[in-house]
Amino acid sequence: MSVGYKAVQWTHSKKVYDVVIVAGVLLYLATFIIVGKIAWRGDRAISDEILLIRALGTCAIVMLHIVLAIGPLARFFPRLSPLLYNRRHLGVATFLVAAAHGTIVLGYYHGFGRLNPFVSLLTHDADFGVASSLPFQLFGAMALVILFIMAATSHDFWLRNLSARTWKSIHMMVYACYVLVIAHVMFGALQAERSSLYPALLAAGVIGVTALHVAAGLRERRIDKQPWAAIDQDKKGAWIDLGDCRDIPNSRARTVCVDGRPRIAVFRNGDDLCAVQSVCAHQGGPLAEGKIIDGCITCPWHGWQYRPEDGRSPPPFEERISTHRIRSRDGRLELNALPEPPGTAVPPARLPEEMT
Amino acid sequence: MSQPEEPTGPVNNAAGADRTVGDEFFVGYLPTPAGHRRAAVIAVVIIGVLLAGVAGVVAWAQRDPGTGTWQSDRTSSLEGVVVIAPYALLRTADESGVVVTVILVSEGKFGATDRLRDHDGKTVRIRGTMLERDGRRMLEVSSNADAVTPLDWPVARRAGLLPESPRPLGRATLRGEFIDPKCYIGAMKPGGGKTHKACAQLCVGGGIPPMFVTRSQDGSEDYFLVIEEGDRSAAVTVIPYLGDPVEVGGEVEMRGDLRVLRIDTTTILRI
Repeated sequence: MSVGYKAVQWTHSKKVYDVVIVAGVLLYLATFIIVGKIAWRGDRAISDEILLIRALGTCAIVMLHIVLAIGPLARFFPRLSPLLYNRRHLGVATFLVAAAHGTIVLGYYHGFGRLNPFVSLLTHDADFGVASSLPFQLFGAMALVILFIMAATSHDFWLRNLSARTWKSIHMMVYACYVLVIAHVMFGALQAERSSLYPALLAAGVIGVTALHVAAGLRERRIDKQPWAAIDQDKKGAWIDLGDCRDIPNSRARTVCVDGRPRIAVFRNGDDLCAVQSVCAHQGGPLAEGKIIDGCITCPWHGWQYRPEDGRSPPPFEERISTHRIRSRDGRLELNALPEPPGTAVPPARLPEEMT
Repeated sequence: MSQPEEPTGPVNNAAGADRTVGDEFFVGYLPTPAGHRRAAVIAVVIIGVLLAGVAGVVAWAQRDPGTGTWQSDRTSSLEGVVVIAPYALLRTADESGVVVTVILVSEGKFGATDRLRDHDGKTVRIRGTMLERDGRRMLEVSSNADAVTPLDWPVARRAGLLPESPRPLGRATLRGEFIDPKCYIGAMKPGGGKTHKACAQLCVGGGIPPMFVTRSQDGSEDYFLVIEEGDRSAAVTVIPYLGDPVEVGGEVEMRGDLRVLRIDTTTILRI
């Protein structure tokens, strides 16, 4: 255990996750190469380098689809959270496979000539006004640069030093990367290949990823569109009636939405209630979907922890999140929508007897 | 200070006791609950089947790379007359004595015109590796200094290999693709189409003679060496169109067994 930075803090689940990634990549590459060699053999055999380029390129695209699908899938099926937990490892592996694809392309298609391969890549004759002549390799190169930036900054060292907001913004570039990859395929391989299977598969992938994101977005929007109304206002801010809190399972939370503010997580800890912002300081994970473990609110994404009474991580950690006041009045529980400064201790509210 | 993904001792031990059926909660640094493990295993199996399925289907559906061959492991030696017209060609006799035209290129993505210009019209022995597709032959001239040896043939023997007068076949408008023939004939398989465009531009820009290929309904292909008016190289003109499906007009003529297309540079149209 350490509070310092390590390249990878290996756990059993991380090791299993990485073994599965490597096995999956090898399964894909082996299947592609074996089937490719059976389909076209003898005089009609495809060059080994081209077979490898295609195997690696399509593998990276499939991996990118999986990376993008895991997030929304884990929202709908929380038991898939083990796939989400180490998604960064899958992202780095996607970059490595894509980089292998790009490296062989650079040497094979842009090497052995009168130009430096990089110069050839950046300057080969293309016409941006004609779809059939768009420089699809540049789209692929730009996507690879984004994957590199994300892989290089994937460690928590960068998350800490760049701030969670900046880090998240950088890693949201995965969507720009995805668009570039689709353009890379559409204006490259799809213009060269004749089988209608390829556009059909690509369309299925794009529709699948888009549908999952739209469905997850609509689900979140539905929650946000039902803000809790304020019943009282004083100098401490608006107070919200929490209603009957018996349905909050012990150690779990209820999400409270207030117009224009980050969501609030109201946790039940035995007969006590406490409220914190529902946004983890690590990667913005939904704390309201977390659980109190060993007395600490535990984020469902990566297990970061906060004490319910003051929103502070247990020593030696130093993260802090905002807390919210809860008061008991006339047999009702009321939550103050105004966040206290991160790490502010607030007394827990006890469930009224009629709610226990 | 940032939280490690495994917190220090006091916080991570009792979670197992906290987990009940129906309230499982996964934390990466704690033992995985049974329900999560089962769901993850099912997901991994489904993903594995999908991976193998997609890989197999995508690999199976690849386009026909053609029948080109490159005897890169065997040195060939050809004797004949070098013709620079405007690219380096070798007029030689095949095994049955029929005169054939072999396109000459250098190693890598370079033509052989500059290297052989001094041998224009002369008899030589050239060593290199042979590429061939659909009866069209190409020799990659070895980079060794002694790869090209001048020969002192009798006039009568040499005369049989000298270029014949071009035989005009008339004006034509053709649909097909400008290619770099070295890759297309066998150096890369497949060596054409959009994904090969940048490589073809390096090849033709490096002096490999541009060719035009047309495809019939039955899959057969015809090759044309591409030149411009005045028997000039068409490399600069066709480079932007390499790998694209195009329509082009021009005069077609036979130079021995070699079909030549003298393009009208104003007629090239992407289709």
